[in-house]
Amino acid sequence: MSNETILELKNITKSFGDTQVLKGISLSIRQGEFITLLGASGCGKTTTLRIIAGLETPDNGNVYLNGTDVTTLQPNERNVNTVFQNYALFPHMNVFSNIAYGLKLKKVPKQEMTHRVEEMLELVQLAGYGTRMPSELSGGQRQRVAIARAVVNNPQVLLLDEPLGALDLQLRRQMQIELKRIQKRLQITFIYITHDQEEALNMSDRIAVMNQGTFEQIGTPNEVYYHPRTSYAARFVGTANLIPGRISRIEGQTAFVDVSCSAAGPAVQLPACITGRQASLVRPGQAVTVSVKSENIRLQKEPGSGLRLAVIEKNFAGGMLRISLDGGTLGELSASRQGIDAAFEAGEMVTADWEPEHGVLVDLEGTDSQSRGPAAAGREQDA
Amino acid sequence: MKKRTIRLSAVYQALLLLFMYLPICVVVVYSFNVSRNTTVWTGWTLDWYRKLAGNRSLLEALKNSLILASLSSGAAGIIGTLGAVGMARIEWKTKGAIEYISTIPIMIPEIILGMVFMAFFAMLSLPFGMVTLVLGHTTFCVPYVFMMVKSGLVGIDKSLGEAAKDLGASEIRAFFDITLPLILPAVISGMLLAFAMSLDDVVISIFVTGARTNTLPIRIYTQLKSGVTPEINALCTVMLAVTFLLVGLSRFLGNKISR
Amino acid sequence: MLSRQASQEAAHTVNAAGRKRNRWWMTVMPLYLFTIFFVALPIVYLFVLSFLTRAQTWGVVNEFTLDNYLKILKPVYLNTFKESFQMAVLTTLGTLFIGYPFGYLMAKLPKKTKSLMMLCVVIPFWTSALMRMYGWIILFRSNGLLDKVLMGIGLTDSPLKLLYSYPAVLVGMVYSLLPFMILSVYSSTDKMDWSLVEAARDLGATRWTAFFTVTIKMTLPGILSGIILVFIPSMGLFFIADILGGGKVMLVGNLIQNQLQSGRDWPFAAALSVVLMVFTSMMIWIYRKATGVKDLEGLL
Repeated sequence: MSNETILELKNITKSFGDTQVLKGISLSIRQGEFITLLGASGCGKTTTLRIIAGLETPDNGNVYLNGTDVTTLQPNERNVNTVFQNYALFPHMNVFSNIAYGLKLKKVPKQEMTHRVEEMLELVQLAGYGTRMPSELSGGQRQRVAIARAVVNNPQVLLLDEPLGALDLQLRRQMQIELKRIQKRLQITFIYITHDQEEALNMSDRIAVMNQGTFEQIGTPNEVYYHPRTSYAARFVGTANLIPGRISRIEGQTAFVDVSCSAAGPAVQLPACITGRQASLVRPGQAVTVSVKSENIRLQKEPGSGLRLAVIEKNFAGGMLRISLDGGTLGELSASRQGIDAAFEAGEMVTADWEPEHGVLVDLEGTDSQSRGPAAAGREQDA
Repeated sequence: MKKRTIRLSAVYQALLLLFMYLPICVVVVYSFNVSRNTTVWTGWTLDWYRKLAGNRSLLEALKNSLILASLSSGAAGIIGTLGAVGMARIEWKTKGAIEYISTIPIMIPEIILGMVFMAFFAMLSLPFGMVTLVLGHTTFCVPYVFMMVKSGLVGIDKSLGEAAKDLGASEIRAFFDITLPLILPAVISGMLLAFAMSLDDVVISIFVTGARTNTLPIRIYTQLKSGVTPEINALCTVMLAVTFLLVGLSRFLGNKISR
Repeated sequence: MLSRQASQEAAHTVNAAGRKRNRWWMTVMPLYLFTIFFVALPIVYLFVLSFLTRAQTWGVVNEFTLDNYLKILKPVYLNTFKESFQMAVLTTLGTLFIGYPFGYLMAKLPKKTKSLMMLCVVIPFWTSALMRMYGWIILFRSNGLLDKVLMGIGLTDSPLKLLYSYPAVLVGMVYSLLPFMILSVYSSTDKMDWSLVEAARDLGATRWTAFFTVTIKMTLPGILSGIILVFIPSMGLFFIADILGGGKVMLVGNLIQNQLQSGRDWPFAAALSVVLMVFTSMMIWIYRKATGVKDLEGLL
């Protein structure tokens, strides 16, 4: 991965009829990067992708590819290729012709074309499948053909629109690894769309969390997971508890927040860490929201300095034990533990708290696309 | 109880099929009759087929009918296909109205269409003959192709065209490489239907044909009113064979579409 | 400030490109032109013609008149309309009663038999209508096949003289239009959710109650579409009445044809056509309102 910017979106807006799908988004992507646009359906991620591909034109704003403005160029005029959600393999062409289609349009000599297609088939582990028709392939194989068909053109950027959505869980995991392998090997910039946080966290160099036509947060999987900037990002990636409170005092990098589980009840002081630019934004007496990931909630039976809560139920799923806690006015809180064995039973009272570094103050700075202009965003990412 | 119902329904279905095929079979069988009178059966012969092969005016009518059907289904193929493809990609306010008007020819009784064209062509003082026949027939051939292609397009994933463009094809290239091959079965089966309808049409032809241009249905119609020779039986049998071929072809293509 | 200007410029180029992009209007031009010039315009001319005056010898005079429409009200012509209407109703009922069970049963057949049966229904539909009428002539003819069979088994002792009679025309009409009804009913029965019938049975309905309360209602769009597809052509199929009725049965279609070819009263023929067209358009309109469907079911 180099530091060179290959693709840049500046202040893109797009409306369909009366609904504004994109509300002025900006993003710059480095050469060779694997970036994921993560968000629920309808958040505008597919529209963003289609704008990059040239299948839609933005109402406002510009798209720069390698420094050139390509905003109004047709899809066939930009060196960007897409792997479509439903693969969009041409049903009347066999696998070879599907993959060769882009090269044929570029009038690549026959011999070279054959060679490159064979190479691609090998790369996606489908050597010998050239004469099959798409209807004779399994879902996973179609997926590979779709990737090969796009990648064979050596695009500057490869766009992937929920490519694994139609596959079953096991195949999806396997394809995640394979996609990452292909990306590493070819050094192509990937822009990947998904609503699956697991996929995003597994594969990406950076994740852009999207919500209602804006970027909530753009950052590495680590940042997004452990230091969500907004409550939306906190909830969307991992299972987070969002706990409202009021800052009582600040000691260095730690803010102590008064939290109470009932309107009249006594407040308990719980810690949250203050990172980077947040220092200038917080002061004692301020109302804040603390995000704590469920696995970071500490529980003990003895009364202590934390919140005293009742266990509602225990639920075992995906190798994790989830413990639901009655948080009173805070709503239901959840804590999770490795393994099925946990000493807590439903109805029991427990004390909950967390380490200072696990409490994250969210919603202080607004979202990534609202708070900073495109120039600022560009500067920060260059740094 | 159940068994009896099944048997009853089978008998009913068989009877109805008999009803549907009896007149057709009768025509075919009597084409091999020695006597020229269809009330008596006097033995088998192929004479009428031989006579048919030598009947200049009937063959001339057949030729006219084939030319007419080819030209009008061909024209309808182009107009209907381009129209259906384009209509799916434009957002004009007049779209619905034009689509509706274009299907009027197969919605109203044929006689009105015949009347309309007769009056209209007379007003334009077009010479009645092949030209007016082709124009008249094309109007009712277009909706068949248009509707077939339109429903064929519904089954085609929109992202296929986008994928082609994404891979570097221009809009036109994407159409010829992707869309056209995929709707081709619909185009052909629509054109076959149009061809059969044109070949069979009497009503409109009677009104828009000239004194010297006879089509086969017109010839058969006039003979049915005056007096028939079994040559007509022979001709009908030949046409039936052609029809079987056309139906078979369109079924085959239809299956391809649904797949 | 500068960036704002830039983005406005960008917006301009976007719009320009957006307009340039869609060139598909060119492909709909043939359809538009053809439809306007050879469908819409002739129909408009028909309306105009129906208000013009008939010339003494030949052709029309450009003088406005309502006479053509008033003429329709003459008992002779009103009677023709009545008779046509009667014939159309009888034809429709005939196809409905004969065709509905067939279309219904066809949809319940196993898949392979179904497509074979479909083929059996479609083939007569594709065969020349005249050829099929000719078949009926051979059958109906005095001392023809039907008479011979009936006399042979002793049901009748003299020829029935069926040809050139009202029943012959009715049989011809029902016969010609039957496939439309069968295919319409079939296509809506085929789409029906059979679990609804099962649910009705489960709730205590007998086989027949379930059929009359659920199945008939569910297949109603097909029935209606079949009725339209049969009724409308049956008003105009003059050649069946001509061939099998031998001039004894006069339908609106025959009247129009007579006016055009022997009577040479084009404006009157135009008025008759307009009335017929308005009538059929109304039926289609009602059908669309009633079912909310744009295309007639089972037409293709």
